[in-house]
Amino acid sequence: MHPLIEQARETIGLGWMAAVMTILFMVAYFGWIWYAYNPAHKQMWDEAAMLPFEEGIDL
Amino acid sequence: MSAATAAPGRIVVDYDDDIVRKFFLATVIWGVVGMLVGVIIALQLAWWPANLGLPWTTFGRLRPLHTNAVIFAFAGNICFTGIYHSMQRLLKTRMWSDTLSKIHFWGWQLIIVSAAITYPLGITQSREYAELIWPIDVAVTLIWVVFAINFFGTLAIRKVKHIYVAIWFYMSFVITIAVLHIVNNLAMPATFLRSYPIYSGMTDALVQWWYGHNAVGFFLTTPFLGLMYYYLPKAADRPIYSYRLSIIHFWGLIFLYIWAGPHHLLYSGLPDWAQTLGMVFSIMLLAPSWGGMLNGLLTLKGAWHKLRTDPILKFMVVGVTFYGMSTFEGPMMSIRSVNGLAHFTNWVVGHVHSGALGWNGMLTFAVLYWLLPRLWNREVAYPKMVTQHFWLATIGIVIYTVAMWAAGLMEGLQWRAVNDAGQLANPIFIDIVHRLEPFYWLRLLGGTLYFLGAVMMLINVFKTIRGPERVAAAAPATAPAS
Ligand code: HEM
Ligand code: HEM
Repeated sequence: MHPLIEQARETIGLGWMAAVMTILFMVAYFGWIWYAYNPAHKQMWDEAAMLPFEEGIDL
Repeated sequence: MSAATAAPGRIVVDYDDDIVRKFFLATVIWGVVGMLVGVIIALQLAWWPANLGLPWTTFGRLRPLHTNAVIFAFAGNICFTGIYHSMQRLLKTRMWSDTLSKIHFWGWQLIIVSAAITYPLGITQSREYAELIWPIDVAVTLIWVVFAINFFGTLAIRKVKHIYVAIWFYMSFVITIAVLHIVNNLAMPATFLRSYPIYSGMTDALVQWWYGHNAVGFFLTTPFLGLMYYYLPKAADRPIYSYRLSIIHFWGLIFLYIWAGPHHLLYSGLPDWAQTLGMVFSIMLLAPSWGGMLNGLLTLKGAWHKLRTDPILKFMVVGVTFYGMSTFEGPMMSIRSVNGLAHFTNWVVGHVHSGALGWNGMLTFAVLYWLLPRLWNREVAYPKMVTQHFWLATIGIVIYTVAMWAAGLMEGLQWRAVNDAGQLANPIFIDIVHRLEPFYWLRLLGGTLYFLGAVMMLINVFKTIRGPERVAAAAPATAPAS
């Protein structure tokens, strides 16, 4: 481990928290990518992308 | 939702465009004022007698006036212009409360005026980008709450289920600025004009730069990305390149930004690990930033020919490109050894203005010129002047930033240079300051060109809105509501 990260771990003494947070955020991140790129949602995104063009009054 | 495209099923909403026109004019006027002060302080750095020998006009008092005017008045008002205009349309509803909109507008302008009065008088709490004294800070908080209630009230009564990505960016602006402003300004008032921060020492510095960097992130970046996601597709007449990329880079951006503040405190008393944390997060920030830039630029795929004739797209493309450049430069400057060279030099000022003039300024001009004929239902009075403004501004930015980069590198290298005996090669600090003079004159030239462009826009805007109304013959363009 990089000495600075080692030092960080010791300084805060809460290495387990850093580990849990890292895992949680990575799961959230990859889960989000999976959700976004899931083919089942493609139509939803395509419709969403058209929202700026669907106006009540055409300005 | 999709029914709205079909002409018979169209929802007709009475949008409040009056508030949009107000914020629009405020942007144009404060922009010119803020940049004029920028030109004046640029002149003072090149030629000090321009401080007139009066306390009110010295550099130290005018500099915060410049930064606050361009950030909170110019950039702030364009964000509000774009938000009030686009969110009503994206959500297909009028703003929740016209009264709150008006309180927001007048309250915000009053705050700006109070800043313009207190700074030259030397009344400040000396926190960069948060110089306002505590009574005005309280006013900012109240006005921001008014804005937030109206914003979320409008979201609550929306007629469209999906919240378009631009609005997510606006939302991060509304929420994060509230948190940043309150936490950074927590202080104990002593008198009406003076207060003491509740933080001290290193904690104070860390809170200040957590605020400072996220002001860049959530005042000068996320709302502007929101503007890009609405107005770039509108101006290019094609949907955003990848909607999925937009929502991924949104969460990536806001998650990473919050941690990057310590890159302003490298080699300081901040614990080493916290500095490293800030540096690592800043470098990672390159990814979502470039995700946004590429999404903007690739939207023009297949429409690049439009750039040749459409000055609005020109402004947008240059703006988004500068966004990419400054978010590449920023992560590089966050690397400890690079920061050791850049910190305290004019390189930082160059970086700031490549983001501020390039990204914020150019995107603002694009949105203003796009809105101008639509908000007032008039033809732009001097269409050619728009293109001339574009070239003046572009050349101005290039001169400004190149001069500052060169000055910064020169300073940084000369400060650290040692001779064979290991002594400083340039032991007399003022010698190096003198060598900066030609670069300061160049910056003044670039800044003046940029400022003149903004003046041309001001003239164009006022000429246009005094001109004759468009006759409703061509497209079935309905007259703007109210
Ligand atoms: C006509 C255009 C402009 C000119 C001539 C100009 C000039 C200047 C000058 C001379 C300084 C002081 C630099 C120093 O202390 O060494 C400065 C600082 C600054 N300006 Fe501008 N400026 C202009 C436009 C803008 C705009 C449009 C923005 C933002 C949207 C902006 C944001 C800032 C910021 C944030 C700083 C503080 C930088 C720092 O602390 O490192 N400026 N400007
Ligand atoms: C990934 C994005 C970015 C990163 C990692 C980044 C990083 C940095 C770094 C390392 C500094 C120098 C700190 C110092 O040594 O004093 C800095 C200063 C600054 N940057 Fe950026 N930057 C980014 C994007 C931007 C953008 C887009 C803007 C403007 C729109 C901007 C505005 C500023 C300002 C105003 C300062 C000067 C702060 C001060 O000292 O007063 N940055 N940035």
